[in-house]
Amino acid sequence: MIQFLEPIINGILLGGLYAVVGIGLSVIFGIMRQVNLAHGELMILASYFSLLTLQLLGLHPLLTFLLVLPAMFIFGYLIQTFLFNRVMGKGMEPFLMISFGLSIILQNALLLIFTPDARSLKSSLVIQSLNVYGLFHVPLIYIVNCAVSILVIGLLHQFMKRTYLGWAISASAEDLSAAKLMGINPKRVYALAMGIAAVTAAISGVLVGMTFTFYPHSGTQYLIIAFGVVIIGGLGSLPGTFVGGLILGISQLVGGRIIGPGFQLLSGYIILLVVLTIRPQGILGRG
Amino acid sequence: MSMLEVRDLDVYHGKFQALSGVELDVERGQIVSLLGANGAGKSTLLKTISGVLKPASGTIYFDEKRIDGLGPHNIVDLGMGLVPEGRKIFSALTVRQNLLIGSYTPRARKTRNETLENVFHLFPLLEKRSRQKGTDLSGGEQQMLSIGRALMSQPRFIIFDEISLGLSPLVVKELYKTIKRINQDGMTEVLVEQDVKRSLKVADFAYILQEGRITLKGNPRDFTEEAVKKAYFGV
Amino acid sequence: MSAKRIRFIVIILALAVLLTTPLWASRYVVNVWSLICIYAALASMWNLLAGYSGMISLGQQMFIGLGGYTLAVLSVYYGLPISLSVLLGGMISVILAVLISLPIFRMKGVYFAIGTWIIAEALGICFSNWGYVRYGMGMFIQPAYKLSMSSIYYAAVIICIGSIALVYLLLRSNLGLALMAIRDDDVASEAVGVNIFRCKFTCFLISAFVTGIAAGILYLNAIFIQPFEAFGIGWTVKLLFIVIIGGIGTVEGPIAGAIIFVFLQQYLSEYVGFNLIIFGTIAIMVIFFAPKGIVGTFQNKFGVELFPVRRQ
Repeated sequence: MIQFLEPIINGILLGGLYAVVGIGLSVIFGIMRQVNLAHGELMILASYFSLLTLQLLGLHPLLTFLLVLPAMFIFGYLIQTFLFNRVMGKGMEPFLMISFGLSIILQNALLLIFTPDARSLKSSLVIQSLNVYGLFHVPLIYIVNCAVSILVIGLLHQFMKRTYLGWAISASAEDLSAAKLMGINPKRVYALAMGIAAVTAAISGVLVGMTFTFYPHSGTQYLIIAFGVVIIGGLGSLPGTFVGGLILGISQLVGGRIIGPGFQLLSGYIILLVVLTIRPQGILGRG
Repeated sequence: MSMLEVRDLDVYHGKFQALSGVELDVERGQIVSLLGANGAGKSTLLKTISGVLKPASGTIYFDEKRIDGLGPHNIVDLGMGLVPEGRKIFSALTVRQNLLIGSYTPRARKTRNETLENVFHLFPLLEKRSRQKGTDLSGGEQQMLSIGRALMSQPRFIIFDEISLGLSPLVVKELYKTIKRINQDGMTEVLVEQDVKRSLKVADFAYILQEGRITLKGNPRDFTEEAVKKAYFGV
Repeated sequence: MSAKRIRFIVIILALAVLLTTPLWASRYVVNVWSLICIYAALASMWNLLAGYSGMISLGQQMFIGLGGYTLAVLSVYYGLPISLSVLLGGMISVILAVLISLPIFRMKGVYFAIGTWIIAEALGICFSNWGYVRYGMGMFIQPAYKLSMSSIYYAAVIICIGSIALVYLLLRSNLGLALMAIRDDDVASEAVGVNIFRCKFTCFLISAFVTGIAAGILYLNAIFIQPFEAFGIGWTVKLLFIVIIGGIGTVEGPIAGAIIFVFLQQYLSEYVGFNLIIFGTIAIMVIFFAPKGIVGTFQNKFGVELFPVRRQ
């Protein structure tokens, strides 16, 4: 039993990171009922942007947030305004296609600029770890990830509950035509929501870049993780995304320990498929 | 010019013509009733006026400004409020938040606290329930919330879409008292109703629609029962 | 000359050219047209699901990978004749479709899309961790070496014509009527007795079968199969691209789309790195300016259909 303590604890911490990975997708999925296939690329774009900033200015990776986050907000706002807003209300295929197209463009642009070499945002946090009662190790970076995640999700939750914009987003997600009658301009709200989603993607991108190595094509695997988190935890529920992240993180690491390291992702997928089959709206979701 | 002027309006649902050559005037300070059987086009007319639908041809002027083709959020900003059919209260927000989001536009947001006071004065029940979830209220209470929410946008003109649907006569009586009261305070109103008698009693002017056309218009006190029946059903 | 006559002549001419190509064209051209035919078959199946049955699948690659690996395993390890192996590839794909249909059909809309994707990814992981098929390194399909370019070409032509004909006949059948009714208004169609599940299930099985076979031919041509490529989302990207550019919900669309796609691929292969960026940009441009695709826009403007599906 003790041997499972490490993957469970680390799974919980990893789950915190996964939750932030999924939040952006949850916001977009929740408000527009659309699947943004470029979400993973938004994350990795931020990772590379952070890398650039790091190399040019010599900052600690966490400090690159100051530049990366505003830049990504603007990027998200722009892609919604000029790309996605043109096809809102026209069904699933156009949005999928545009987000696919965007994801291909971003992936290959990053490939051209940065080459396919493995990269990472180096900091001492990855090497240092916490020694818990001499039983197992918890990498410090995992704790940082989880702490940042809780902070981000908490802030976002408060934002949705207490600000006009947050209400506008919830209202638009629930009933768009009624929201328009409040004077809410859907295109602007969508653009702001995408900006927020891009910022959360950026946060998770930088954290991921600090924790693991990344490549231009890493976006795809994180997209699937984001989906997993949102679907398990439930649409339209911020705390649900957190729960989803935890479950995914734990099932990945525990599954990997039981079946084998190559099957980490598979364990996550199996849980995801089970949830999709039994309760597609997720554990805390409101369907 | 009238406060709301609709001229020669044609609206299509796909290939089907829902409105033909509709003309309508609403003078400042009036209560105008819009009546007709189900499918006559009342809802379509409202949706076109409030910007949800776009007309194929014709014009709509509000306070001398052309509004056909504008989106609903622009029209709300110009001072036209809509109490939608089915109330459409947001379940994600509390009563108070539902009201506050009614004053989303910058113009209305400035004076929102004052407006909220006035709405609570008009509907004290809403103040009592202000922290409850919007959809936890009863049908009649939700209707009050919906009206209050429309008032929060500081309109000069309100459209009430089928507010008596699904409510008991007692509740509807109270609502109509409120409608009259708001009108006496200076609001111009358009009522779309199934309850013919009640809406004709309170209106200064009425229009009856049948199959997308205006078949009768005038002061309701001048209407005979014959004329109304004919205008409704064409018999 | 009546429209029917013109249509007939066009089709006969096209078939004549298609069937005689190996006699007068270079190996390169024959290879290119093999690819076009295979992609057209794959795309027309994706179109059957997304354009006609309302099922957007992001996981068709599960059948591509499975069909390809069935061909590889049966022909390499068991020495089965190639045509049989290809056929069995289709059948194994159908079996997979049946197995997953219970859970997958409980998922609606975007959940269905994601569910199919996850299953394909899961299969990819399983195959890349399976020693029997040489893990992630992939397998060489030796028996394919002795096949001539022409025989692969004719196989591709057959599956292409077969799949287009299948879709056309299907849409003109009762099942087709049911599908169009569902597409218009699924509640109303249920009210008149259409069994939505059975219609969608049948289409799903058909698409699995044809995709599995087309995949077999594809990998005969490629000679090498690898799990991450075979079960990768890249396939859905290509099929989505082909169908949208060609024209979703039309019978001719996948053909036009496949032609454009393969030519673009060949033309852009010189600009390594940039080529995919251009693909992505073209995809976005098509959605903005010609959302019905080439065939769809053409049909709207001129009212002409090569394979008319609506009853006269």
